[in-house]
Amino acid sequence: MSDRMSLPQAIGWKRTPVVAGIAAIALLFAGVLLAVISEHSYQAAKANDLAVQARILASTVSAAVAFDDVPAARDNLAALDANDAVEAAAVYDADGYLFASYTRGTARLPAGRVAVHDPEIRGESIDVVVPVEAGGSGFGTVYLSVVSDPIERRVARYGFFALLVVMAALVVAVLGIAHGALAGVNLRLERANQDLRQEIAEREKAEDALRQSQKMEAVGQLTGGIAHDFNNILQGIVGSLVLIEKRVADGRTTEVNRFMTTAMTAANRAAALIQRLLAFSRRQPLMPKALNTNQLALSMDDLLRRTLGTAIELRYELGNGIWTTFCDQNQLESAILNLAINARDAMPSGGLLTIATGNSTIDGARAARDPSVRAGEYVRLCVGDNGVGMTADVVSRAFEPFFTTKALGQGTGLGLSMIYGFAQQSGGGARIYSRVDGGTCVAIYLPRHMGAPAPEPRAVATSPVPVGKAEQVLVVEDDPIVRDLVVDTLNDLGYRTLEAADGSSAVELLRTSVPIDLLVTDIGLPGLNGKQVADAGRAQRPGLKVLFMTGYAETATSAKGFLAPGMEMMTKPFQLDDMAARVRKLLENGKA
Amino acid sequence: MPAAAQLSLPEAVKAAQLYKFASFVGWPDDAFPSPTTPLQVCVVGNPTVTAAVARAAEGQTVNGRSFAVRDVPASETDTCHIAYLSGMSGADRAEVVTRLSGRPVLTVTDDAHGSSRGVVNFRVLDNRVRFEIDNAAAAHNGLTVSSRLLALAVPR
Repeated sequence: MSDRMSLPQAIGWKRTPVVAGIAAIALLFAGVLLAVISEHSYQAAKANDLAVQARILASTVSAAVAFDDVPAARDNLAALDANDAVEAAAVYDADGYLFASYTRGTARLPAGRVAVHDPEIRGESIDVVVPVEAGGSGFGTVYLSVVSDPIERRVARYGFFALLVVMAALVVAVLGIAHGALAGVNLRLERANQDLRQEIAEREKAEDALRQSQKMEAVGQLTGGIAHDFNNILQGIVGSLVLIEKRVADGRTTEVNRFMTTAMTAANRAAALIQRLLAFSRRQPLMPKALNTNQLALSMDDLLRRTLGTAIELRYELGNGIWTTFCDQNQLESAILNLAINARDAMPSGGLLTIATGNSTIDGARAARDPSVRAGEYVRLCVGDNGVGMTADVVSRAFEPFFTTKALGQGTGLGLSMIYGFAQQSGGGARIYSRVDGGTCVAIYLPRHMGAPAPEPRAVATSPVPVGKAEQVLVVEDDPIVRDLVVDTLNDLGYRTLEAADGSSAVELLRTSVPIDLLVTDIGLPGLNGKQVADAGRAQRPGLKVLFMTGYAETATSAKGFLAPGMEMMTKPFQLDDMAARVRKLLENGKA
Repeated sequence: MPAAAQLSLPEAVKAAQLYKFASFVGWPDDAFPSPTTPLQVCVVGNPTVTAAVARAAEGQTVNGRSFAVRDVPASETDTCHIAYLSGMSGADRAEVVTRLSGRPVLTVTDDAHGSSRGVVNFRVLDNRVRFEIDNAAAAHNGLTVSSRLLALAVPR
């Protein structure tokens, strides 16, 4: 039904019962009128019949009256006996005296003389008086009376007809009333529908406003959380640098290494935080590999015990014959650490933290009951505590991004959301089992890996940083700090360098005949981007080696499509050693 | 009116009824010179009866015609429409009836028999005045007799 249902139409619906009522009344009126007309013409025909009959009788008895033959007249009258309708008949002579008569049953003749008159209705009978004539001469009069139809017969005559008319009128009236009622319901429905639409529109508006405010709140939460973490990290870096500066100024270099290590650790934490943010946004390329969760959990023992403190007892319940799983080791470690920290915060006065592992097969029925994990074979890793637990409401929202029960600035609200995202991205899932004052258990389901088992960890042989052989490298980077860092490092390693702050100046340099062995370029540049610079360079110098740098993991992922031979991609932040190795590898490969 | 003029009851009844036959008998159109010509009722040989008939027919009409009642001799009955041979009998009466046969005259006789009977022949039966009608003779005379009248007639 259109919401523009016209008002005239609605009024038309309203009028229908009235129209039906008028129609029904008109029908009844027409029926009564028809009956009256019919009755009237019936009576007229009846009267006419009577008059004709009387005239015939008068003619028949004319000779008998004229010649005073009473028996003959009586015989004529007696013939009327065959007609049931005749009540009484009489013949009067020219002087008005009764000549002969006939009566049926209790019927009586009128008293005294009768005068010639047209048919007249008297009660339930009609009578008439006609002259007896022959050859234009009058010899007397004839009186004839017949029964008019009794009321019962008239009712019977019109009863069926009346019944039909009344039924028809009733049907019309009922239809009209029903239609009216339906129209009324329709009208009410229409109004209710309009109200509902309005309500929905208002609610949508309110929901939009709510979403907007939630978004703002979430951004505030995230910003606050990140600012908090970064402030701590910066505190570590800046504090260390200040101490190093003092020591260097004082000439005391013995403790410098320690502070440098602290600063480096803090910087690494910053990098890790960025990784977490990327993981949350699910734009981080995972580097999954086959691994054994039991081994991984045990390898974190030292870290966990230091993190949890002495008030919390750490217990392992590691399943036997655990299946190999396939996921990103760093992410899983980060997830376990995150869950441990959450558990610690849930047990402020100490408690028991359990890390349990086991094989878990989820069948279709269970997956249908709880769709958070699809049917299949999984390795289940559960981090449980006996802390304060969570309400059902909190459980239902715990995986939501930015949802946190911690104070503003104490957490980003991304921890569990991140774990959930990681588990999903790995092809598994995550579930929370919790009860107020009954502790919490967060289970991560990781898919079973059917390939080769996890290799035993090997000690990585530390190779010396490969040095340059005075090759010329063009470094294109708009951030001067990063550019200087890269250039200084390359110079230290024995490379010659050229610098460009944007794409156009880099392309200008590439068009000169200056020898350039390698192009190291950021992808995100103002104006021409790194890809375009590289294309221009290759147009000029086919086979030019290119090392791309990018801070956007997403770019790194999609860039794999356009990486031609002799090109490589490096994600920021990177270790300088890693860069040195890649530069060397690119240059050596070209020569091979 | 003389005492001799007193009529018996049957005679009075006959006199009163005579003109009424005109209402139930049709004459051919050429029996009347004009539409308003009075209908000639002739009584032969009985002035008393003539007077009674005249009284009865006085003021009466049939089909718009009045009655002219006369006492006539038997020889002058040719122009009558109704000829009541009241005072006649025997051969004379038969002679008149025969002579008028074939003419548009309604001959009326009293208690006649045989060939002396007129088209209408009065009879007194059970003290009531009745009449016979010879419809064949009427037709021969060019007269039509109403069935109503025939119904009242006694069989011959």
